[in-house]
Amino acid sequence: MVDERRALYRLAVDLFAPGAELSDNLADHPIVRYEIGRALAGHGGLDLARLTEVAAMRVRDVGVAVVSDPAGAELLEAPLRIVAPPGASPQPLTEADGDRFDTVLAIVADGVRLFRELAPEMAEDLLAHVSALAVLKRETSGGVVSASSRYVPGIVLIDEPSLPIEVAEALVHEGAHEKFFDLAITKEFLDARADGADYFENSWSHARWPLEQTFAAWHAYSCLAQFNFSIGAEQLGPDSLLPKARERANEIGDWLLAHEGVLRADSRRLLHGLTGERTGQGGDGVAVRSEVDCATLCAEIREDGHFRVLSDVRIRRANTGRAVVGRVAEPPALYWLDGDASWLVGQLNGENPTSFELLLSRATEEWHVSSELAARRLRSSLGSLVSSALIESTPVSTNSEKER
Amino acid sequence: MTTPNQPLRRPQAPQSAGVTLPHLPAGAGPVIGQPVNSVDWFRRMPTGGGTVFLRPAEVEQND
Repeated sequence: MVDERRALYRLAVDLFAPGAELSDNLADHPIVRYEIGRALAGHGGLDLARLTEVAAMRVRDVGVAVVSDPAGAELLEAPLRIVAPPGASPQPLTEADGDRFDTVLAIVADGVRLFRELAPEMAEDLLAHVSALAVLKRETSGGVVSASSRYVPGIVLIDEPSLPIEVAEALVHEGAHEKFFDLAITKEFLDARADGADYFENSWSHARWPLEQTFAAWHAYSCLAQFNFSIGAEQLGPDSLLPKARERANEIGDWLLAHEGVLRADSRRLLHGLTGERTGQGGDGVAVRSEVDCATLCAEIREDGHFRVLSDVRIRRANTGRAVVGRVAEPPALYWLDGDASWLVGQLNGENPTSFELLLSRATEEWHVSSELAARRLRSSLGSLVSSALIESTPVSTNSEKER
Repeated sequence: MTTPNQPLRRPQAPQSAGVTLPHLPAGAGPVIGQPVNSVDWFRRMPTGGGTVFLRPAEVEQND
């Protein structure tokens, strides 16, 4: 998933600054991702010099990269502003704070180690989504125990810890949110329907959450409940959610199962996987929907048709084989392609149209399926790609295709 | 963190070059979900955008 996320951000940069290439370090950097996200949201262009500037932020690696730069307050202005409780102005602890920073850094290092010891598989999974951690000065945190932001993905902010277990728990909690942010941009997770969905009201504080926050909270509580099984007799911090996590995860999970009609395929799979609920009518509906769309879209695809990628479309492929596609626009439009569509765009180019006949021949051979099934799958992918204005159908071939 | 901290410049393909991707084998499974999925996340701008865990005594909007 991390490589797919990098592919998406690299594609985005390519759309704003053709020819620019991000290293893994830059593609993972929370503030770089914030700047790219702003541009993708339609809030201006992308300043490559700004990316270089923010990526120079100094960190200390103690298993996670802890922000140590004395200029941290300026460089982290966005996440600090977003997570600030009313009336508070959280400030990061940095090298400029001397021994106080060193003491906290040692606690964070112990916390990361503890997380890896208590729950190695979960640590491996969640820490892959945490690119940086900032510690907030306790006198400025305004009651924040831990926090993260969808707009600045990859950075976890925690209050000045006293115990390693507090750090470990915060990494579970916020790491789950960070993973959720990555799921949301790489998988079939939520779409615009999420904004119009019912709100969830929890029983413990009666706060009302929109669907996106409800799913994020459920995922975090589910991870915390799982972590709670691993901690043994470890002394918990005073604000620990671990003893309450299972009960809360169940409450939110039950609500989500009752509202899964607004979730997409991968978020339903995760919901059913973690709750242990068998995929029911709603899950089946995902496959049925494709059939309906195919009936509509496939009718437009002629077997004597020829296809090519539109000139304003750019494509990146992740190591998983999935392709992410962007169309130059303001703001750009981004799409993930499934396996068949990813294969298909790899067969096409922007100049010479490729015939359905040739595509069918290749698909039948490479997919090891009957010609009839390959034709159906091809039509489905071609129909979706045409309707999303990523490829076009042209009436005639060129001589070039015959030469290939 | 061992990779460069600045964007690199790579040779630009001409606009008409379109896509040059390796031919990869596709999954042989049935079509599930949609072949093309729009990434709406960045355009959706919910209020706040922070997931903040506050001490229970501070406020009741905890996630």
